[in-house]
Amino acid sequence: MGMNIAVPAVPAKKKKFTRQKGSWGLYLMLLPAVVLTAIFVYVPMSGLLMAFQDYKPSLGISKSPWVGLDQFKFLFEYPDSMQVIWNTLKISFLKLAIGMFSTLAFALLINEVKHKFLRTSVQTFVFLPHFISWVVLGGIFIQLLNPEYGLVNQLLKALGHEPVFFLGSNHWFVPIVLFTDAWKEFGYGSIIYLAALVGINPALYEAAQLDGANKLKQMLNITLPSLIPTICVMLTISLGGVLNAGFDQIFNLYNPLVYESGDIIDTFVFRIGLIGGNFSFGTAIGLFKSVVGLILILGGYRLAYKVADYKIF
Amino acid sequence: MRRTAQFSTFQLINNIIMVMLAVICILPFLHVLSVSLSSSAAVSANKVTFWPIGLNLNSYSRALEDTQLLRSLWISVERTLLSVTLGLTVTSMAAYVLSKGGGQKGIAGYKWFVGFFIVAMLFNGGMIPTYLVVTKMGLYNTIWALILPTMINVFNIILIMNFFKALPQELEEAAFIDGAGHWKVYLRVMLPLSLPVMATVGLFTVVGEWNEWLAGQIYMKPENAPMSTFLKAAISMPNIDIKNAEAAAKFNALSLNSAQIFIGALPILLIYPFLQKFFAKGIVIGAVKE
Repeated sequence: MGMNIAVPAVPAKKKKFTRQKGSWGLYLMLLPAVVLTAIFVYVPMSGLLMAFQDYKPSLGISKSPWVGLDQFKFLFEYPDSMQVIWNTLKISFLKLAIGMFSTLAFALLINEVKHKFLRTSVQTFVFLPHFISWVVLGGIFIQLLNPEYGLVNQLLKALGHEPVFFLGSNHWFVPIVLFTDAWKEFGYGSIIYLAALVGINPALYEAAQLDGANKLKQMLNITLPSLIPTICVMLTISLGGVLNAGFDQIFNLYNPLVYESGDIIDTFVFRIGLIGGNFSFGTAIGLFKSVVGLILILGGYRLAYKVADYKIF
Repeated sequence: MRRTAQFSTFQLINNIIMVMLAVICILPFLHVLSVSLSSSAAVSANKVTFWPIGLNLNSYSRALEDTQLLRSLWISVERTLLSVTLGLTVTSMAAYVLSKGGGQKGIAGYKWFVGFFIVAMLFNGGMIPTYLVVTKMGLYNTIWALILPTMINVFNIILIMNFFKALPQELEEAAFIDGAGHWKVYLRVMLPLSLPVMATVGLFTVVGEWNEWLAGQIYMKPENAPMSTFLKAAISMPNIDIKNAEAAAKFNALSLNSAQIFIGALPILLIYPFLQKFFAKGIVIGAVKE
């Protein structure tokens, strides 16, 4: 590495000195990360006190009046917030189930494609939506689903159906959210399973072939069981995210007409808390979400560790 | 091509399904691209599907006449470049320190620092307290409001740390024996060897920063909004040209909107080939555990 600093053999005493000097450098290297984390993660945590106050921006956290658990009481009595929690759980669990099924099915099928060029080009196309923002995709789907000029409705009209205002209908909004989420992520999500598939011992397939097992049987009896540990890890880890139903996606697709079916905790906090200026109430909902989320994440990791011996750190 | 004798019907059908899925993934993009490139007459007659009709670049020239769009593009470029360079520097320095572990080789209080970062990964103050801190620091409407709060991503620290740990120890030790200090080892030994992981984290940062719009909305005035925030506003309020009396005005707006959407997505589409190359590696690196 172009480092030709000739230093004579260092005696033991001096070596100790060098190490101490070096460790000072280590602290210096760690400093920016620690400072940034302290300011932008730990200082805001103290702002969580607002959840127990009736926060007034003019008074600040130190002088705003304390109200104890009133904000939380309000949260559980306010009909909108129960609807929002229910929407969040519903959308989240359905996304999880559909996402799991679509990524797994795609991984199993693309793994059977033997033609290398076909395989890589299909992957190039199906991974693409993952990298495009929901702002752009929101714009595209709003156009495609528009009742007057959207391509989907043009097709419906051509088939003799009435046009549907998909993104303005409480009946259609959640299915659209689920479908577009699956569309965006099924390709990219399959990577983790494809990585696991590489690790399967080929001798298993050879043996099965000798026994006369067809492709379907091989898939059911060898491939799928080999993926079970990965599936378990993915499921338990995603437990931690069940209160994240996808702020970016919903915010970029929804409008006041579908608040009833599409409003989730994060969009609700943004609208009521930040835009509405109701800082204490918004913080209380956010805190409720973070605490439940934390319990679920820790529970999920513990479960993943028990079930599949998975450790992240 | 027909190397395998057992090219079964299963494989044929499977290949067809795969091609169809690939097509489904790009058709929405093709449609919007076609609308942006078509003549306004064809757009207003709803004739455009997946191929431009009356090919022209009018919508693009109109979109680029908007000085606000150009300004937003520039702010996004600035933000992305700053985030990547500063973020990678700070993250890789922290990763280097943490890869040493505790004890003789590393720092005192190692466990305490690990806990500090892990808690930060699992729990935070949420949207509103963070907003108050950023604005109280006087960062409102400065580019730093877009960069500093998200610069430390603990997950990236873990990723780079695991890569450093997997490098052969002997290289470092040889450098230490030659009298190099930690800074020199970090700069001259570790960084040059960790190009794959740095490229992976860097590309993911580029995508994340380019696509992020919420911070741009809450921390910046509209005239300083980055591209994705500008786009979000343009999409929810299509800028219909009121002075334009022709009947097709709305559909010109549609075409213009499509052009804006494409300009917003273009940088990601341009770096996509590089992304493709690195992300699979990144996933594998991320899976490396002790």
